[in-house]
Amino acid sequence: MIQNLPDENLIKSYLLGDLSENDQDQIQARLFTDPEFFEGLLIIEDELTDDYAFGLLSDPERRKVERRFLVTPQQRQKLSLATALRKYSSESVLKNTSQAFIDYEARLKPFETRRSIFPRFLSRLFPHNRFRKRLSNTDVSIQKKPGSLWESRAAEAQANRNLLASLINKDWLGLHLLAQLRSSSPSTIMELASNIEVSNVDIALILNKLVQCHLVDKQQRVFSCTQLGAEILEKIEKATGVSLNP
Amino acid sequence: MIAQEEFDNLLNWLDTDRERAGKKYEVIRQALIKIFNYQGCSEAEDLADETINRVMRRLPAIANTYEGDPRLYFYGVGKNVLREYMRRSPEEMAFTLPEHQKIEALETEDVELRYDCMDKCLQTLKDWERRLLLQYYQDRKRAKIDARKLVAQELGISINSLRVNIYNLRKKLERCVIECMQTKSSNS
Repeated sequence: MIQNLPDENLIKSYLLGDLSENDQDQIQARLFTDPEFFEGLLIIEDELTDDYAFGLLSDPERRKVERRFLVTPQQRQKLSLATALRKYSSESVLKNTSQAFIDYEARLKPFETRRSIFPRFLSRLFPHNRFRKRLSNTDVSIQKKPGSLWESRAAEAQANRNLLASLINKDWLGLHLLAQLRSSSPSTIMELASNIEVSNVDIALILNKLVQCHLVDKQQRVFSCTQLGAEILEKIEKATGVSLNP
Repeated sequence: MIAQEEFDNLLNWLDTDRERAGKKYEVIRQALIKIFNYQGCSEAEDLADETINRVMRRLPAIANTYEGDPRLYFYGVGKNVLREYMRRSPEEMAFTLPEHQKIEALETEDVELRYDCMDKCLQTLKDWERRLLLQYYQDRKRAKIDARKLVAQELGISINSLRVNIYNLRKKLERCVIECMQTKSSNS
C-alpha cells in the first residue's frame, strides 16, 4: 500500500492534458517503472471522475476530463458508478434518519397516549427558550422579524430533530457516548472505542453529529461532554427514571 | 494467440521471480491501456496487446543485448504503436469525442439496474466499509470544503490512508456491480 500519494498536482496536470509533450513522456515512462506512482494515478483518476459526477469541476476541467478519460465504455462505467454512489449516499441519509424516528416512536408508544409523543417529549427535553440561545446570530435575527415566527419555529424543530437523531442513531450510540464522556475525562476516539467496543468509524460519525448539536465539544482530537450535553442526559434520566452512568 | 513459451520467455525477461514478473506484466499492460486511453484511442486494449505481441516477437533478438529496464522497452514500442494508430485515416479510427449531452445520456442507461446492483453489493461489504464509503460520498458534495480532510479528521487517520481505502473499496464495489449487472442482464 502506498504511504503518500506522490506528485499529486503533477499527476492531475497529466490527467487533464496540461503538460508539455516532454513532461507527459516522463510521466508515462514512470507509470511503467514506479508501481506506487501508477497506483497514485489510478486513485487521482477515480477522484477526478467523482469530482466530475458531483459537479465540482470548472467548465474547462470538465471538458478536459471528457476528452481525456471519459472515452471508453469502461471509463464511462466508472462515471456511472460515481453518479449512482452520489444518489445512493443522499438517499441513505434520509432513510436512516426517518427510520430512527420511526423506531424511536415505536419504542415509547406503549407508555404514551395516541397523540404523537414528539412535541411533548421534545418540549420537556429542549425548552424553546434554552434552545434559542444555541441558535446562530443569523437565526436569532430571523426570529426577531415579525412574520418569521414560522421560520424560526421550523428551524428550531429541525435543530431538535438533528439533536435527537445524534442521540438515537446506530442503536443509541450517541446517548451511550455522551454518558461515557460525562463520566470520564476528555477522551479520544480510540479511548472511547476501547470502552464501548464499537468501531472507530461508527464512533467518529456519531461524535461528529454530537459536536454539531453542541452536546459534545472537540478540541484537537479530544472530546468532552458540554454543559448542554450534561443537561440533556439529566433530563432523560429524570424523564425515564433510568441512570445513564456507564 | 500467444504461445505459452513466448509468454514464459517474456515473463522471465521481466524478472526471474515468476510472481514478481507477473505483477510487472500486469502493471505494464494496464499502463499501456491507460496511456492509449488518455490519447483518445477507443481500442486501447487491442493496442496494448499489439504492443506486447511485438515485444514478444522481438525478444529473441534483443534479450541478450538490451540494456536498461525492460519495462521501458514496452513503453518505447507502445509509442510507435500509438504513432501508427494516429496516422490512420479518420474513417479507420472508431473514436468519437462524446459530447457532454451524450455522456449524460449514457449515464441514464440501465440506471435502475445499476442502482439495484449497488444496493445489493453494498450489503456484501463489511459494516464499517459500507459506512465509510457512504459517509465519504455524502460529504463529497461539499464543494468549498475539502471533504476528505473532514472525514479523515473524524476517523483519526491520514488523508492518504483514507484515499487509498476509498479507492480499494470502490474497486471492490465496481467489480461486484459489473458482475451483478451482467448476471441480471443475461437472466432477463
